[in-house]
Amino acid sequence: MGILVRILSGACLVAASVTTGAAAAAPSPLDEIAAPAMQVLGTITGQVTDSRTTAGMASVQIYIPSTSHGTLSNSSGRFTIAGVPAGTYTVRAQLIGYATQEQSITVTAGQTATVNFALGTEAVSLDALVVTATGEQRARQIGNSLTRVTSREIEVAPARNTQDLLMGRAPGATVLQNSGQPGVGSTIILRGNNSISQGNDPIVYVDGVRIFGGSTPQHPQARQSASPLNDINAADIERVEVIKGAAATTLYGTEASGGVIQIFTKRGQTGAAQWTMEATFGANRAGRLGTDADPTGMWLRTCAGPNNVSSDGKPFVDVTCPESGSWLQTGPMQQYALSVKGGKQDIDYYVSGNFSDEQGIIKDAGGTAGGGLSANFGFRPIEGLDLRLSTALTRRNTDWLPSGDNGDGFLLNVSRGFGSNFTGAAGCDAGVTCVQNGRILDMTNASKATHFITGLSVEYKPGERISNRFTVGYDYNVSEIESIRPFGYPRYTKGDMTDRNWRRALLSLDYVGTLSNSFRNGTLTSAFAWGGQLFSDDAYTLSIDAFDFSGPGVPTLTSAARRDVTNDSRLKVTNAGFFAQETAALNDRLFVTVGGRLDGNSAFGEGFGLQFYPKVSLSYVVSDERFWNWEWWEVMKLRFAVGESGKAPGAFDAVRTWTPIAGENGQPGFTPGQVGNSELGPERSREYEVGFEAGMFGGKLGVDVTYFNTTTMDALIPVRRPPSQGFLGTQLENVGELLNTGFEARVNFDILRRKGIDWKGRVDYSTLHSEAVDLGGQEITVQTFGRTYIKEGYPVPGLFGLKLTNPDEFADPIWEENAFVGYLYPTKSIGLNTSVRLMERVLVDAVAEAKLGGHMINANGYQNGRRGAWFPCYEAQAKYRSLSTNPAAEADVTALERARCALNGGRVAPTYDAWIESTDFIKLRSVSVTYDLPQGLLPGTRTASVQVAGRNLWTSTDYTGSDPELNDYRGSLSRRDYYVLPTFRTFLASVRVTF
Amino acid sequence: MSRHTMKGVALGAALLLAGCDGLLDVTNPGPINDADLNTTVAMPALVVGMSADLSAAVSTTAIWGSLWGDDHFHSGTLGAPTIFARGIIASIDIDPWWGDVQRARWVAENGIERMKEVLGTGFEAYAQTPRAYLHAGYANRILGENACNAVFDGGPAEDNKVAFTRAEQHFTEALRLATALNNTTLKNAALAGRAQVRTALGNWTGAVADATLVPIAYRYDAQFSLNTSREGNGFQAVTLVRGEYTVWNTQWANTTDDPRIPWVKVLTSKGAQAMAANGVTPWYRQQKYLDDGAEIALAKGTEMVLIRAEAALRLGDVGGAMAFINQVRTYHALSALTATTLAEAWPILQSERGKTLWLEGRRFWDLRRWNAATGPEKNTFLDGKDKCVPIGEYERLTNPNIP
Repeated sequence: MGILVRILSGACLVAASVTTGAAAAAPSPLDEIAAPAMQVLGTITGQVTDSRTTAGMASVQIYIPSTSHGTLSNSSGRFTIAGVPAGTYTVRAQLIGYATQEQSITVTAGQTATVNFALGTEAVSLDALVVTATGEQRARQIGNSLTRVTSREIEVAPARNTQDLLMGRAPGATVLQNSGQPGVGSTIILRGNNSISQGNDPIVYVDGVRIFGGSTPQHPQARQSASPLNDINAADIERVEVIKGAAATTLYGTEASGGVIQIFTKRGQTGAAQWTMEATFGANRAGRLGTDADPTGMWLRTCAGPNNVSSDGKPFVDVTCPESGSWLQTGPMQQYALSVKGGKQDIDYYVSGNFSDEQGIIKDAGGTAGGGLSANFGFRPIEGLDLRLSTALTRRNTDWLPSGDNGDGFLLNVSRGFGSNFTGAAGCDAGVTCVQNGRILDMTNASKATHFITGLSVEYKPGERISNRFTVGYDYNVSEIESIRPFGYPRYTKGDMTDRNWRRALLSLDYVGTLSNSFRNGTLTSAFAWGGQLFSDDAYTLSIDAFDFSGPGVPTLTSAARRDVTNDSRLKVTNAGFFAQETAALNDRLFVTVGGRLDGNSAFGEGFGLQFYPKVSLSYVVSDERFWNWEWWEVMKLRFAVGESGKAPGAFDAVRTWTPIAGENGQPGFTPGQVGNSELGPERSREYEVGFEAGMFGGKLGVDVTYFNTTTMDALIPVRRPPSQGFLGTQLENVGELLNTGFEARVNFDILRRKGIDWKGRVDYSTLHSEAVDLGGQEITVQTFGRTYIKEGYPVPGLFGLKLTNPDEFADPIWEENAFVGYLYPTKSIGLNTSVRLMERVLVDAVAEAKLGGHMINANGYQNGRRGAWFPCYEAQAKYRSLSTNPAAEADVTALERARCALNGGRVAPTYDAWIESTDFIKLRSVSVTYDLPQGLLPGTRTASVQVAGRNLWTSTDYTGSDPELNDYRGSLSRRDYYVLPTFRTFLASVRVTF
Repeated sequence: MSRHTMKGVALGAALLLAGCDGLLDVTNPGPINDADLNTTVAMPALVVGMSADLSAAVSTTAIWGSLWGDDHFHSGTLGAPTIFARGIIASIDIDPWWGDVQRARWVAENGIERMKEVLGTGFEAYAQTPRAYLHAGYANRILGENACNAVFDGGPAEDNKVAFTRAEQHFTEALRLATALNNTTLKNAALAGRAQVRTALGNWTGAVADATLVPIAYRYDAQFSLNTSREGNGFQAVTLVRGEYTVWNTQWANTTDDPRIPWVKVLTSKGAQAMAANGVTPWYRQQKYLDDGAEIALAKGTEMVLIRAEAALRLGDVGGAMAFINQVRTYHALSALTATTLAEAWPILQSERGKTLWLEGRRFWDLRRWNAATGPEKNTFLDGKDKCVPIGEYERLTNPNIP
């Protein structure tokens, strides 16, 4: 073995945790590598083509199983694997959507061996590798559904981030945009709300490193949050996997009941350095701004002219309205990305950088700019040992526009016209109300975020049957959120400032070991996995308000006469767990998996100790059986899974506490904090999932159907105590039971496939039934003004309030009190995707999405309508006003119109309830046309493509507010459209070049 | 092989955890464990906490009560006040008030019990003890004056007068201990508070006896400051920055020359009347509390004089009553008023009490008790309106003793 063996033995001593003494006890894997290492090496090369179209296929994994030799095909389908020891190998070509192929090849020292693959489509890829809590497994082994957004989809999707990627591409996932502000984070809910009190954010892994999956603190003026998940640039993402329910997330432990999103970033590949440069230019433009009945677009589209009148005809002038007569602008955006990837025999690398700058649709206000660097290095010092270091750093500055339920909110004031809080400006004629909404833009509303993710993964496979992987990860988020109302600001002339510093650091340690065995000549196999995880979450928030500046200028906190520390929270929680799982397989077609996880969490009460979450799943590839004689039906896999996962209560929820406060002009005092509950434990979600995956007609049709039933037991419910007992807050108790059931289906199909055209389609459909089965007899108020409550027998959450019983009658409204009005969040989703490749060079891709069954309060309508500042009500209000002279004026005004258009002090009292509306919508989420330029057209390049694309191009909805997927109640189970800026359209043109 | 590997893994894990001391620590600095308050050094802060929670209750009562009692007219968009403006005070809308008042009462009464336990024999001589009793007394007074029914510590609904009785006991204890400590300020606060609740209990003789001992210039305030937002009185945001409340259309909208009722019309740059937050109601802005740090009175010597005036009227002594009323007016540099009959004097007294106690969260109680009367003091403002604050929705839903 010579020198190499000695060096590597030393390495083993360093890596004592995995291989102490192993080299002497068994035939060393080092023997296997040391011998060929002294030989001269050979090269494997070839091309992968589509079996039908004969076109070269990019991004196909070409590798020699059980070795580290492998690469990805380039855009013309060609590949080269250098440094392969002489010998005979099986080479595998694999790409999701295509049937995996293997070919045998002999590599001769110093020679190049050629092997070509012609892959045929496969609607169901049973041999595709997916990543589970125990490592990679073939899809055929998995007993639960899993949704992937593949690299091919990502390439054509005009998406900025993961949340964009998931819209319309993951059945069972609800992704709502929340606001039309650049930089805002979306809400992601997988299979409904399984928790009332502990949040429903999925947990997120990036290259095996757990990152913070929630949102930053809200900006106090924008009332919106960013999502650190979006800091990962879409151009760096290789694929995304979504694991939706407790049956699949058991081994991820406490906190995983909201599902798991796994993001895999791009890696290097063996070969010369390949650079990719991408430049995108575009524009954001306003789309739908409320209903067509409002010619002014809530006075955003036109802020001057004859329509600047109240419903009783009183004119107003906004003296700060831009010269264009509109608050809208075409917001420019630019985005650049540069990456290089490559590698040699034992090293691969992918390094990238990106920068983007995007402006919103309101003139000279709102935008986000930032960039990042990421690096992904792989190193295989010896056969069987794989080291991988992934690091990403992102910085982003966002300018927010005041928004939502906020007296300084831009839409609140502009859309109220004459009723703006910024009245009193000079420059208007007598009798004309003079407003100055432009003064809102005197404010500074910014956030500066830094996000650092790093992870080191060490995988050691001392033999074909055993593997060990240890991952240490660190996710570090820092954000400074700042709001300044300057000296002289109309609504607070002395000026004030809020500064919020937020830090969230997550440290994770994971170990997974696997041991596989086969018996009876391979007909019976076993894969046993064991492992553990330690996860530490360190959260820090410091908020300081400062008031009364001495004079003009750019202030700091010390510029103010008074300062108030409003929040200083330093919370550290640790979760640790161990798991084991056995997957037994019969004839590689029937797989039974049994596993469990033992979890401890610092927040559990003394009586709970460790928690055990079990799982069982079954996968049966029935189409591999001999009796399966339907040639047209190539693949049929049946799935069943049941498993549990949990959500932990907050740290110290078990303890009775008092909160320090100040009183009597700065003297220290206490006030009741939390009642405390020493019996507190995690809530536990148990999910049953059954489904099948089928592939038919030569891969032209694929069907994936799942039914799930999730019961959350011991649900953590915020229970109130009688206020007369002094503690006004709620106390978590394990008293509830929630139920979510649903149906998810995905159908992939070839529409037309012949030389020169490859047209595919996909339809996703999902439903959700949600019910609070048991709340310990109480009702939970989520948001009174959002009319959002949780009641036994109704969805989590539901909308309750006054229900109009005679909406279409020409009469005054008749209300049914305390009525269930409907689901808050959508209950049905339809995702439509089609892609057409023409003449091998043009690819057209479109994604549309329908979200049905949800409801929301259009608070804009309520607030503006009652003031006489809601155009759709002008006609009805004119009739109401003329009643004194024309008693029949209201004869053709329906009860719904009378309810919605009721004026302050009028006969019919205005009420929010009249504005609870269906939020059903269909949106064209994205359309892209990509053209691959002929090779050689651009000298010095390998490939080049241009793309034109659009996002959110079209919306169809009966909702009368500004946008049906907005939310002013971020961080709450409720949602409400309360002067939130509507989402906008984006038009993009990009160039991508590799060289 | 696998056995060696497993040993290696265990060793590695042990080394890792040992090398990362503190990795499993869980911390949540800030909140204070309940048991940690059982020490003498925590007592001053405990009493300050009572004061702070009482101030919060006073703030909510003064702001919302200004609508209930016609000190303000509703001109905004906030949910509960919109309903109050229609004369409706519903359980579902008043949880913030109910919570603030109940917390103030419970914190003070529970704190007194904790002080007794911690201080032992030193309890009565402790300088902060009379203040604790005052906080408990005034919190009960606010509960009794505004609530339809009193509820204590998760118990059943009781007559609101039970809160007055409880308050009287607390004030009596405060008076005894303040007297022993020779603390005149606290002694006057106890006398004034007891006079207030004795009037509510119909003990006018006792009330006058206490009121007579309090100087006219005396005032005892709920403490507010600009130090932190929690310490603010809350008026700034809803009356100065934003016109959620207006003086327009109240009984005081025509009173322009009385220093006890300071308000101004908000005008546009053209000099026209500006509208308040709802866009349609004229904005008359109160000027009594010019920022959030302004104190709100819990008791004043001027009110004590007016208690004596009302007691005189109840005895038919119009001249005596007017003398007391004019004593207050003189104190405020206002000209004297005249009345010769009860029918003339009662409206004057009611008006003078309203002006003296404007925006202090007291008018609703006065209107309530005068509305319930049948004699010349009958006041009809609350006819057709809710006359007291019902038990809060949260209390109703969570207290098993409330049917």
